[in-house]
Amino acid sequence: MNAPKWHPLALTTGLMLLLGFLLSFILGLQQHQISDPTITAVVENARSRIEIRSNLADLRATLSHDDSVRSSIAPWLNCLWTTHQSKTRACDQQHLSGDDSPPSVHWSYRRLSFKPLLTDRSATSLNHPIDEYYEKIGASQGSTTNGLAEPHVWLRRLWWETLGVPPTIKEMQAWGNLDINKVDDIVNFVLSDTKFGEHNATMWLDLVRYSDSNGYEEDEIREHAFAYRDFVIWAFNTDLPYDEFVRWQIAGDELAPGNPIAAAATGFLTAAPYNTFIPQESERWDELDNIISTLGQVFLGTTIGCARCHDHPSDPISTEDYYRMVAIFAATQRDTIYLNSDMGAAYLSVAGEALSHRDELQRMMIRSLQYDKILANDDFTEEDIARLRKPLDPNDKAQLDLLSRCGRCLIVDPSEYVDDWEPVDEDRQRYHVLLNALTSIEPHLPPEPPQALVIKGSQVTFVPVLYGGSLNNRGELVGPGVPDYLTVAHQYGTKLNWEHWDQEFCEDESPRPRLALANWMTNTNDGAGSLLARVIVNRIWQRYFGHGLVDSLSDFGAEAPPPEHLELLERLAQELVHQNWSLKSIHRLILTSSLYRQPRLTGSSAPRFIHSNPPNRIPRLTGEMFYDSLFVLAGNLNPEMYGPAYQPEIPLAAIHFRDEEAPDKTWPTQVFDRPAVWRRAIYAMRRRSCPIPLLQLLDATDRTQSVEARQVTTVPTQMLLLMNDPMIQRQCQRMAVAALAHAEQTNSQALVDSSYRLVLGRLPDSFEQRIGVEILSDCSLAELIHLLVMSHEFWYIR
Amino acid sequence: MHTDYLSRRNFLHRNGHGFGALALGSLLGRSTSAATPWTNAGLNRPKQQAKSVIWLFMNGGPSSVDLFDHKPLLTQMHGKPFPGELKTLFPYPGPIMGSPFQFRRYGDSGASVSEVLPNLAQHVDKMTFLRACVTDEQNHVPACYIMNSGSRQMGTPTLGAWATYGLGHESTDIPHFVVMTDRRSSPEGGASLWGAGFLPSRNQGVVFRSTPTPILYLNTNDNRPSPENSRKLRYLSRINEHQSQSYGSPEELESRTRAFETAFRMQSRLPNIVDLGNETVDTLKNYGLNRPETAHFGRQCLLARRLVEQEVPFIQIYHGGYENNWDQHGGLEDGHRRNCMEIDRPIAGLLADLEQRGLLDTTLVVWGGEFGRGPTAQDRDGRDHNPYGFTMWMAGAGLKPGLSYGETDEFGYLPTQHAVTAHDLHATILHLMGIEETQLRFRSGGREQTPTNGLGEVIAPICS
Repeated sequence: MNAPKWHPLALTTGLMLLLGFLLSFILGLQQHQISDPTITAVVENARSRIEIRSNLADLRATLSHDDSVRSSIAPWLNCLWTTHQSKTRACDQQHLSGDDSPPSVHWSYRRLSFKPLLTDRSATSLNHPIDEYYEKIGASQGSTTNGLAEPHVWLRRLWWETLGVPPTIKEMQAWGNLDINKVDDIVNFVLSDTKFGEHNATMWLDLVRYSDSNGYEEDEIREHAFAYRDFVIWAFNTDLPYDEFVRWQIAGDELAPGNPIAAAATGFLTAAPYNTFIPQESERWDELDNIISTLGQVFLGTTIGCARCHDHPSDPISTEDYYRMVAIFAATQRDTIYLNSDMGAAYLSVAGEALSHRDELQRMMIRSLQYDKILANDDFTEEDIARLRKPLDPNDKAQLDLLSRCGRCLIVDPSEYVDDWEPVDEDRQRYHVLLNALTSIEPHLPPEPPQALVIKGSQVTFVPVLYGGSLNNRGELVGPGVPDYLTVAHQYGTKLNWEHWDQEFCEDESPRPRLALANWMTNTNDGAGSLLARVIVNRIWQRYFGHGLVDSLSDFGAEAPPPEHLELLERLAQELVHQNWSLKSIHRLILTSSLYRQPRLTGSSAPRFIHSNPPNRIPRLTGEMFYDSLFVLAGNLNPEMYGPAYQPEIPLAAIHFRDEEAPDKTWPTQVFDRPAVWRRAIYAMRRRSCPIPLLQLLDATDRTQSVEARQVTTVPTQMLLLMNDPMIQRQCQRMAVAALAHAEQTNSQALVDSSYRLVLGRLPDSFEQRIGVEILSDCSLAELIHLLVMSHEFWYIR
Repeated sequence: MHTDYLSRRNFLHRNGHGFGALALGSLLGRSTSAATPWTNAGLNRPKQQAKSVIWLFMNGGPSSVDLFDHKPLLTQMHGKPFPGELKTLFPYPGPIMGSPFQFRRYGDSGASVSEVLPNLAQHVDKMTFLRACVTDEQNHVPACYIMNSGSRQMGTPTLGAWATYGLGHESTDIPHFVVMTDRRSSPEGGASLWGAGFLPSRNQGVVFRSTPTPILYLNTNDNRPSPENSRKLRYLSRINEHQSQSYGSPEELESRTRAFETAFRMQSRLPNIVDLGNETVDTLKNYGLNRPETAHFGRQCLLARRLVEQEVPFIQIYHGGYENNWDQHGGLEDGHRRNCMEIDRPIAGLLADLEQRGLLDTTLVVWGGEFGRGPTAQDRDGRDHNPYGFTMWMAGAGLKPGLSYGETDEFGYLPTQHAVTAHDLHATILHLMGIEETQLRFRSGGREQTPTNGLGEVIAPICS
């Protein structure tokens, strides 16, 4: 591959222009702070070098037009050109009949104009609408039908892919003799199982990079974050209309005041990682960026984050658009609420006094620790100490001098709680009063009711546009707003400001930008709701066929390859809207189709795919599916739903932050293997700095950035896990007990049968029967089951 | 009949019925050929100079002005107020503080090195100094992320992940990106420091311990090699082979079968790597294994050499974690003296050993922290962070040895010329590995990304 080279002339000219401009600009901005021009100039020189670099890439995007320069562009910006071509092509080719949008509008930004897929079927059609569509296009492409998968294969696939676990022996017996007329019943059965919500939420949490900790230096546990996870599970299970599901995540507190579930939904806006140790301004911008970028990708399939430093290179999102979105969230703050406000109020009425006493004691403790730190400086005189203990006074030169000698002596982290602190003299009396009061109150306090981590705040805020994303390059202030180009009404020439979307629901109250955004995102007629619908039906399609109708699941912009089957996508999206945004209706539609029920074999008998370029992978279990199935098959799954995260079994050696020679500081040394940890993986604590090795080895994400679909990798360390993890081995022993219980007889043949039925959901063939008996003559039943759990068929969904 | 399968013997004695270490090559009667292309073939790298990188990460921020960047003016102005603008992490910076250590010039290059690194000082002519490194983060963890990934945001792919992504083929028996952390405490920032971000998870760093089971799950708790195990593996292979037929025997399942075979081999090979039984007493001594204060880091450095011999391309060793690190806001003299004591002999031993074995020509050693420390005092005898100008050094493959590149001002605070960002460093390391960053692309977040996204420049003047 050739390393691109700058066209020398363009490089020199561009760089000189850029350097000159940026240096003068940055230095000019900073002029008022200069105390010593030479030093500051050097600092700025160093900084501007970094900034110039980050601006360089942007400049490259806008400067270059001829081919010699184009080849030198940072590779990720190459899209600029290819996209413009594909955009034009897409517009020319994809302007389907019935669509009255202006032809220049990108296909995914248009108003939905097709008829819904199911509802509009002709009354005489007996075929499933997806199959009908497939036949229509399949005939023209010369495909042939391939029949249906065997009932037990399809059942198992259905369970894995909707519930995340395999069917039990009982369920196989109940549904196994599949009658064609029962397909709808079975699909309805799995869609009504609460495991459906849990499994679907697992994938959703990857998208919204949900985690139970803050990330970065301290990586504190977010003990109240679970409320958002629970909201998602609940919403999928109750089939909360998707538009409501989205609106609540942006502004649930405002749309349904007093509804704790709607408030918990705003946990979406708290899920970004953030640093809590001496937070810097830049980090707040990063956090806001994480919110906007994730929101754009997850809901609207739009990479808004690209516009942080420069206008989006391929999509119609300007830097101003980006900062208008930032302004919507700039005033928000994380907060906790009681999930049950009555319980919360009752609790506070009895505990309020104790809480305020504890706060006061904490202030005393900080004072005392500060005093200790000051005293530790043995060259301070009595007078110095007295001066340091006075309230800080920026005009007190002597105090400042003392502070510079013990710069950190007044800095006490409240979390540094120590048991044996002594109050300073002036606090001593009050200390004993508080202690006595607490001793009498605390034993009678009820446990604190559960809380949710939520977002609050919705003032209209103006933020500066940061050109190049740089804090030193602040431009004009912008208020809340949404990208015009994604607003369908704008495509027809109607100008709507952001207040329009706010007023749609409540006209007479104070402005609420988040609510306005939520309305805009879900309005199919004038806002971005059509795009919202397209993005989510495509995600569901991808779940079951391994391939989206649009390949790039989180990018429906000009960079996305135009969908091969735009009509199908449009009609599915319209169907969703028509079904009052019922996601289950789309799941049902897909799951009952013959297309989904066909055999998934590769090689000579390749399955039919709606794509001319189908995926070449057989779907594999995710880490979570594998983990959950260990408990389901062994019969010891604790089905408890919801609630605070549990700490799963982690090998001690894998616990980061752990001091190998001292007791563990972050993961309580606990006896694993008890019902509290036999729960599904979605309830396991996901700590950003310390991944659960079993999940991590099996391609789970670290939940720091939105992931649309996991990479699937095959590496030897996964096999070491499967072979040697004590938890897996323990569960195989439990499965052996279950297999024994299900065995019709007690001879080897019957045990082999029973093991295959338990683990693989089918009976062994004669070869497998023979080798199974041979294995049992040599190994334990648990070992046979362990081999089956490691086998290909357990992992690859047929 | 039940009781046979569920007998006490089976349930208790076979508790942990995993697969212990196996005799190499005896497995499954199959070829154990080294080339096991799990993925696409690696990049063609005609200009490769560094086959392996050993990155010695001094966690917490080692003070350049007390170790490698001698600034006599600090001593002269000791106790006086700093004459310019300071941007410190903590408020109330103190006066200028001279280094508590004496400096001397060493070697033909005449580089100044502090008295606390007497052994390392003997090797200055092998080193290439980057004296004006800059980062734009004051906080440890984001700065560590920048040093590893170029971005202060958590979850960005690290250089080791990009490099192994570029190499493409999976190492047979040993992970490609190996990370060793301080025995006393892991670095803050956790697994994201060696994470793969949006790259496939196979590219993430694998934590490697000095114990007989260096990586997780290598063996069961009661590791007892037994001839039964190889029989079990043969059973699994027969089951899998039979099942594959009903899937049409796709490549994916074949690679899974190979991954099992490799895993079995790892069980015997990795313990051999950490078994130092065949190293001479002199070698052990040169790495400081004979002294308690240097034994642990010395062992890790020696393991790094042994991994290099196994052609592991990317190795990172952290000295210091959330405790026992280089973050001396106070008590700098004692803290740095102790830290230097722990690394001086081991790194000197590593450089000498690599050279003596002819490995230094193909191995790149990188030394540095996430930033340096400032010119003024904090808490009287410590220093606050300095992200604006600090020293790192590299040695080995493809470099001009004995060279100093870049310069800080006379306070050691700000760069006066040739500032180097983490992006530049990354582009340079990849370049020395024979990879140009434009060759590495991955689509994420709506765009095609590369290791520095076009922001890093190879530091050509230091490359030979």
